[in-house]
Amino acid sequence: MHEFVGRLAGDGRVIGGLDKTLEQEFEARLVESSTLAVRVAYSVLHHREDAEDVAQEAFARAYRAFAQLRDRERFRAWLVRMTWRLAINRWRADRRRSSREQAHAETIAPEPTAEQTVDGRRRAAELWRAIDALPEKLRLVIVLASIEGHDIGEVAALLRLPPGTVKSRLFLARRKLKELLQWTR
Amino acid sequence: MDEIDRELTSALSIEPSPDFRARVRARIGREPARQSWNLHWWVVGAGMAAISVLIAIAVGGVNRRQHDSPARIGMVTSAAEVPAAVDASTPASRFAAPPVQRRTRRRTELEVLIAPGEAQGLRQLAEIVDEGRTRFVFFDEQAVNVERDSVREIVIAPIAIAPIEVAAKSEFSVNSVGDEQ
Repeated sequence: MHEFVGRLAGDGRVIGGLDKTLEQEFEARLVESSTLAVRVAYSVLHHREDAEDVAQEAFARAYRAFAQLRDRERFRAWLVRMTWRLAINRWRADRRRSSREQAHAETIAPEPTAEQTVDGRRRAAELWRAIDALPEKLRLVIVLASIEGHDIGEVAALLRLPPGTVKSRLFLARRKLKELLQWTR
Repeated sequence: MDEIDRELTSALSIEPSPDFRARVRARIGREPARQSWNLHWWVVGAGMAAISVLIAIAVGGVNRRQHDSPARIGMVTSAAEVPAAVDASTPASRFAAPPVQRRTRRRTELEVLIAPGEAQGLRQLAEIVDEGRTRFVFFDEQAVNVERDSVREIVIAPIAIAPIEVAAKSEFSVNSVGDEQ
């Protein structure tokens, strides 16, 4: 178990923060949900460092409100919404986004083979453009469905929506993506 | 459709960097202690309470003033009417009315704003009419006379209307039926 820097005294007593049980619970949530938060932020920002900054901010806010977020499902739903909102805010505020995307597109591809390089980059760029063109409601649903293999029920729980709503939004998002992406035809 | 899902899953398959959690912990560690937040809330709460008390006092004062004002207006009105009726013969008493009363009276009564020159002109006109030195002639009187004179001279020529030819109408209707067929 990691100790929060500056939060615990030498004997494990909490200094002004959460009590020890809550600290441990928060640590468990951090371990299991950090990938989720980073990927949600990444789906908006398309930049690893920015995504990690946003996820870090979301966890800091979650820590402040953790006494009300002890339930696992509630915590994850809150974290997804908070991360998404922070990422959208950052994306809107970031005026240098286009240049970052360009730099990112050149570095993010996971070491493709020579013949995959050009085609893979083009497809990835097209995919992100198409996802960015989706309305926010559809975008969040399809992103969450693509992260960690979430099914409709899990996405519905994360967004606190009825499963039927998630299903219809997922259908609309896929149809729209198919219209936008040339290589799916 | 599976292709899109596969591409998207692949595009989103990034992992947080190894030091991500350590940075989150450090970030939380740098935050001010919870006690200071509690202290802030105390300060905010005390400020809100003080503002509420001030608002309550101000609202109470306004209400009290509203309750008091009708009696004061009544007094002023009656005080203002009495000298006008009784002291008409003594012009000096008109100037004896306290200025506060005049101010209150202005607030409670409606005023029609007319330029002093216009008021004086109207007053002079009324005096002249009362003395019989002039009389009002309205524009309508002249206009009616003029119209009557001019109307007499108008002659309307008789209008002759020729009877409608029945044969022509039946012919037209036969033709139009034939067109439709």
